[in-house]
Amino acid sequence: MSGKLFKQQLILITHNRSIIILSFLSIIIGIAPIQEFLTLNPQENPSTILTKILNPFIICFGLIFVALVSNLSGEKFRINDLLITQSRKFITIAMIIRVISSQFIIWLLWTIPSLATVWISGLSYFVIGTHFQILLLYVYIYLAMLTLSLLELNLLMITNNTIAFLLAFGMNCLDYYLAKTTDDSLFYYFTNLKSQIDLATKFIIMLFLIGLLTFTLNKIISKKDF
Amino acid sequence: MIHFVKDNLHLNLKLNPKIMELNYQITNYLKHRIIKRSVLISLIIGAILSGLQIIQGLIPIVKYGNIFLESPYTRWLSIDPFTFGPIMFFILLPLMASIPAATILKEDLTSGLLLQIKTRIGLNRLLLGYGLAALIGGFLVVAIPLLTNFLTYFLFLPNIRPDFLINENLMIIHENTMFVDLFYSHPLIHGLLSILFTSLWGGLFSVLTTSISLWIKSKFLMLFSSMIFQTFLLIGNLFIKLPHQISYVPFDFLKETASSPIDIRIVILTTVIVSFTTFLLLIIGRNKKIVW
Repeated sequence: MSGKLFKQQLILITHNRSIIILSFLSIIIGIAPIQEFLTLNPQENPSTILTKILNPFIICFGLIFVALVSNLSGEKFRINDLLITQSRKFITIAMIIRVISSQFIIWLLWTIPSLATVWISGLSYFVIGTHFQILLLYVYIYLAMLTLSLLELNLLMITNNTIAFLLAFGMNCLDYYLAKTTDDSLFYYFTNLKSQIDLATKFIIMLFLIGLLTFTLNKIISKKDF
Repeated sequence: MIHFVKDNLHLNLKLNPKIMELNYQITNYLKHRIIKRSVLISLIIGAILSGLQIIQGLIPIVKYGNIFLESPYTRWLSIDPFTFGPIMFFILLPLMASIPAATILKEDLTSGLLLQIKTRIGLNRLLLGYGLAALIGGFLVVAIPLLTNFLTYFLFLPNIRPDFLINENLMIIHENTMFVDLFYSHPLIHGLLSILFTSLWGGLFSVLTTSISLWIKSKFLMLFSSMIFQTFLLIGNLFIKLPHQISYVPFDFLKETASSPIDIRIVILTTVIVSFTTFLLLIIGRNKKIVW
């Protein structure tokens, strides 16, 4: 059944024009900082280079904005599925498959141009020099996108589209603000890395949050009046 | 409620067939048509952001006293470079402006109500009515939070004229502020003009959403279209830079003091291009999507 659901969701996503437009925007977000890279001094502080590559401002107001909008614009309930499967569990599974795959498309179309610009502008020594930890941070951003999207879907079940977006985007901005003013934040931890253990802890917290939000989504759907 | 308005419209039209009365009926219809709750949502977003900015701005002054001789002109939302509220406000401005009245044209078109009204009132006049409703809705929703924020500061801070040397930390110079000499001579007029300009852009964003909505099927995406447009410009500004790094993004130049260099010619050019594009999209949309 899950295979069929996966196939169905993939067809729905690939035929959704809004996701195609937004993924085009995510490619532009990936290649946007190329001018800054080209004027960058190679002897710069590594943390400065890291903030240039993973610019939190662009990620907050560009990438995650695109992710949250694409997540809601692809949202479609098919009451037929509910009647055919005779179970609400499959609606949750379908939603989670959709979130994971649509966010993955957006993330991949941002990551590849982003890494390509890093390579073109001659900063590839930095990626190799950090023992590929930077690639781990890219995965970290994917988890942040997934968490916020799941939060948005939870809110969508309770309220409407606009309020769900605003609250999820507000959470994102609040975390960005925390990352700027204090030293600690969850989604923007990559702006001021402290230790490997801390990063691992944040990974685990994020995975735990994803599990919790999936659980609550399932609970809400099982009680929701369609 | 729509049925009631429709009947009312029909009845009034029978009684008053004059053109002046038609205008009255369009405004009356749109006044009933705009959903009050959506206006409230927009106003609440603005109120929360401007309120947070006031609290954040006043905490150091209450704690340590007004040692830097701050005045409302150097502390309010549009000029404050230190807090996070203004960034959120100017990022969400297109969405805030679009929520009240920007999508009703598309909703009426899909429900078929527009085609019914079209038989009674000319399409050009009708589109003008919808456009004006979007413009006024966007204008008011942006103007009210900004004005309340600006005027609230007069309750807490003394009305001192800003000085170039005392307020040097804000860096209000001609490179990042339009008409900077007016700011130092008549700051209140400068602030009010800034609010007027920002609100006009709010209206423009709202009309832009209206004209793009004719071309987009997705109901959710059309509400966000002007915000996506602004994000596109924001990213584009990083990618394609003008000489001297002059910004052409509304997010930057709508503030009284921008966070990046601005030029009045670029500001006027951007405004003209966006208004012209909006007008063109509306006219072509009228010919292609409504009359087909």
